[in-house]
Amino acid sequence: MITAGLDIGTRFAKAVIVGDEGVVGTQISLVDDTVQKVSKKILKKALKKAGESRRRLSGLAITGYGRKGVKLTKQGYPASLCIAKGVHYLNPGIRVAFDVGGLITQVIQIGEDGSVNDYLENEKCASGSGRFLELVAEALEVDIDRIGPLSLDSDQSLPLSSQCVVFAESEVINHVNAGEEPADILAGLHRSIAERVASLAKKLSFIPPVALVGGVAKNIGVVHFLEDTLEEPLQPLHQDPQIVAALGAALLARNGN
Amino acid sequence: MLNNNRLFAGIDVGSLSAEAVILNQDGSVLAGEIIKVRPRPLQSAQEVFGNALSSAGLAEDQIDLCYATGYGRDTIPFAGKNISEISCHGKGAHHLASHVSTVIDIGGQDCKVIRVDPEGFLVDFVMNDKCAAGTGRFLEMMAKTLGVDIAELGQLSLKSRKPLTMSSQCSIFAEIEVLQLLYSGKKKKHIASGLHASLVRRIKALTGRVGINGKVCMTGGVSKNPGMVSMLEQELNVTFQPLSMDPQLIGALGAGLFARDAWKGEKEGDA
Repeated sequence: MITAGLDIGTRFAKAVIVGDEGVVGTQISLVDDTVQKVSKKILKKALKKAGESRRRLSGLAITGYGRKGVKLTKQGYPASLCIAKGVHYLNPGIRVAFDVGGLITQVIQIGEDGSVNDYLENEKCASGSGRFLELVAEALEVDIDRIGPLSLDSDQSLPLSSQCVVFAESEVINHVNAGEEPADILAGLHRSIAERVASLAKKLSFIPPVALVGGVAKNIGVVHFLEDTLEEPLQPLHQDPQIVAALGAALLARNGN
Repeated sequence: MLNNNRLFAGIDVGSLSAEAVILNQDGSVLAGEIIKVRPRPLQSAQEVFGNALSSAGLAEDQIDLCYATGYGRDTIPFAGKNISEISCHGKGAHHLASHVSTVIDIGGQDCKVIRVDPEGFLVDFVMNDKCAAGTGRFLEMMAKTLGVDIAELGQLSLKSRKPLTMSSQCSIFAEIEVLQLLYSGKKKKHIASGLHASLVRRIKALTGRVGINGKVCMTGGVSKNPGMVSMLEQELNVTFQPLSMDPQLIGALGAGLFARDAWKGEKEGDA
């Protein structure tokens, strides 16, 4: 049985094709067009990579912030459910997952059977989001893939006082103009993101082991500062953390009708 | 000499600019000056005060009392007293705009609603300076996303009769919404109108916390946006009183008026 899962995020759209043996194809693309067009594109690309076609799909499920604008399937699920499903599939021992995406951060408590026991999300305010990382990387003229490692080079992070990404970006620009070290600015930025995730996490009861998913999980600076703030290691998942929600959607499509 | 005209001054040292106003006892303004801030607040205060004195053809010792406001106010030794910015803003706007009782101030990085009594003294206020939603920053960012000059965004919004409903208040979320609308071929004027409506909702929520009554005026950079002015007037069911002077001088004027009032109080006390 082959199924597909789509996760239409605030910045990137992800597609995962799952067969009986596991993940057989994935695609990640920037949302640079209508969500409908982007969804069709990533599905096509993922299927091609899997050597499969749409006709062969037994199910197609969708999740993510942008899913309502997509008319490809009637099977839509909230991201919390898909993340729990995906994380549980990869490591059934995980009890809490943090999903830090482009603009939205979620904390999900996962039961032993993989169900969502509780969750919280920060959907009205982009504070502590991946977008913040993008904006600062642009302001510093540093490649987004390099800001994580660079943040670890600092031994004195410059704290940022604003929660608001827009105002904090101005603070960063002031630091840049004042000639502060990019590594120190980045350390302050990464720590601020980690603290924001941790403060959301503390609103739910915190039960290790924990894992981090979403595009921001690929940033080793955030991983480091979050482990530091939580005083808890983040369990590695043997799959790209950015596709975990789409994976969960594809798995749900295997069961669903 | 029964009618000795006393002279008063108000100084406002902000983070970007500093202002000084010199006024007569009856509140009429003799001079108003604005400068970009110097490295230290005291330098800014001295320079702008000097400019105002020159402009009015006066010497410093002719000023009977000077009060200061703004974030640099604590370091000005020639000011008799320091008054909070919000109080000065309310007092100054009340004086410039037909004795309004509510002032809606939407600046680049904050927004506030100030209520004053019939003499212009502060009664209540609410401020947001933590979130870019509700501030001029929101519009700046949206103008950039739309590829429109910020100075023209307001006019553009007025061209629409069908504003698109925007669900996001956060400017970062709004950017994403705007992009999707643009990709789907929606017209910029309708998007612009929807964005203004979003900002108006935010301001309306703020006014709800202190209440609007009596006459209202609008101050701050966003008061120059015709789209915002029109939509806010409609939504709040008011007509904004116009200001008779450069709104940037409001804080300094308020400080000067407080100095005037303090002097009057003393004189009355003496009698």
